[in-house]
Amino acid sequence: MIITLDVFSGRPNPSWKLSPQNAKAFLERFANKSVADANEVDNVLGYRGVIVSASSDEQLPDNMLSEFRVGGNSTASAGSDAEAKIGLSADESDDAVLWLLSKGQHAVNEDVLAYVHDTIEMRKSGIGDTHPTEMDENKTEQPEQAVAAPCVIQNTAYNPAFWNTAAAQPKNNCYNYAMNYKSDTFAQPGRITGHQYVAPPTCAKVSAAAAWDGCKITCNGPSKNVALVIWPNVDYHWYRRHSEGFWGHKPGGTAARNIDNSNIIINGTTRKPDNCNRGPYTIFCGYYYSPTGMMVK
Amino acid sequence: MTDPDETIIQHAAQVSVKPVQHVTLSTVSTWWLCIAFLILCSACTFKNNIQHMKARVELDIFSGGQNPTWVLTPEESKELLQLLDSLPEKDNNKNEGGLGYRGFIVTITSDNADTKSHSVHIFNGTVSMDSGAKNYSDKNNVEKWLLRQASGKGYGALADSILNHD
Repeated sequence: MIITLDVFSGRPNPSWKLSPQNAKAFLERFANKSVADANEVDNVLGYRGVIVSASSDEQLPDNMLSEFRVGGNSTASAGSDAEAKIGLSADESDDAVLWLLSKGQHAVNEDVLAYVHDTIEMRKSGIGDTHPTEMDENKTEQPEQAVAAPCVIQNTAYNPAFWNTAAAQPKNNCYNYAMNYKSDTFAQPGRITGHQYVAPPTCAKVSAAAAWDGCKITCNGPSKNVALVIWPNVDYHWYRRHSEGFWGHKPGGTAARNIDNSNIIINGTTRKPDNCNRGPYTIFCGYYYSPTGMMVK
Repeated sequence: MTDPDETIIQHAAQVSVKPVQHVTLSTVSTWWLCIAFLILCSACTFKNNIQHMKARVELDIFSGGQNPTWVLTPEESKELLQLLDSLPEKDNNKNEGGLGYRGFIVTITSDNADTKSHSVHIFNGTVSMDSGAKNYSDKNNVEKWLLRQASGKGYGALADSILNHD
């Protein structure tokens, strides 16, 4: 389960992954409660609640929306059973958000964390709106985050069934799979942030475009291991490492898999993206870190 | 819920016993003619209505980028269907391919919105219909015909690299 603090305007929101135990504990708060659609929010600058998402291959329980919002000015009314159930109260929502923030300390900048805490406390005490004037959103033309956070590798379990369906498989490519975000748009590096690379693809151009989307050369905060390779001047391809240790990938609109072109498992020890059979993708660009919750389009 | 592939097979079985004007059904060609029959207006003949059919070809080769695609002219579609005719059946080798060239995906549709579209995968000597519902040996060199098509549509460098690799 991916948690995204919806707070920024110009740069990607911070995200982190809940452990299965914490995810279960969190969902217990919503027993017999309705939840708010992730898109139901006032378009204010600053804190807008948190988004709970299963757009990655870790899924929510069947009876939950795949993406919903908690806190902010959202109202819990979405879902098929919305008429029969009520949502969390404002205080319950705030408590849920504060609990989630306590589990995502490495992902959220201290200043941002303090701002959100203040905003929630002011709402509780009825003081009214706060403005993010003290918060540095770092709106520069640099895709890299300025503040270093402890590296926490959060590779997820291999779950090809999430991708290999008639609906998802043809609409999601290697970039969707590697960044673990099912956009159904055959995602392109840099497109979601308006910095798509210009053909022909090279290591420098594709990795720079992905950096705008949040992908990093060095590990910073909760991240997953990914790797980029290039078919010289023709195409690019991404791999993602799983918690089992091996690497998975999804060639274009074909099925997700953990084997290379020699049908050998890319086991992460003797066989890795830099030495496995990659067909015409002969250039190995390098290993990168994709922040947990990174979105692509 | 009914499996779509199963539905196609059932429809094909029903259609194959009906007399079709101007078309001779042989044992090996029944499947392809049934597809044409299903796609085209049931009251009309294949030859007179080929213009109602659209065949979209996708060269399945890329991973990150979009695959090259193009639409066949009515004459090209007719030629393709003739090549697909009379292919002998074979077992599915389930070879989807990995990184790089993975064959061609031809999607056949009709102007008639009520008619189901069909997907044909041609790769490595095998012609697979609708996700492997039926598989045929490519004895008419459909794959080579499509590679020549790719060259003619501006993808000559890719087609050459595939042919040279073979």
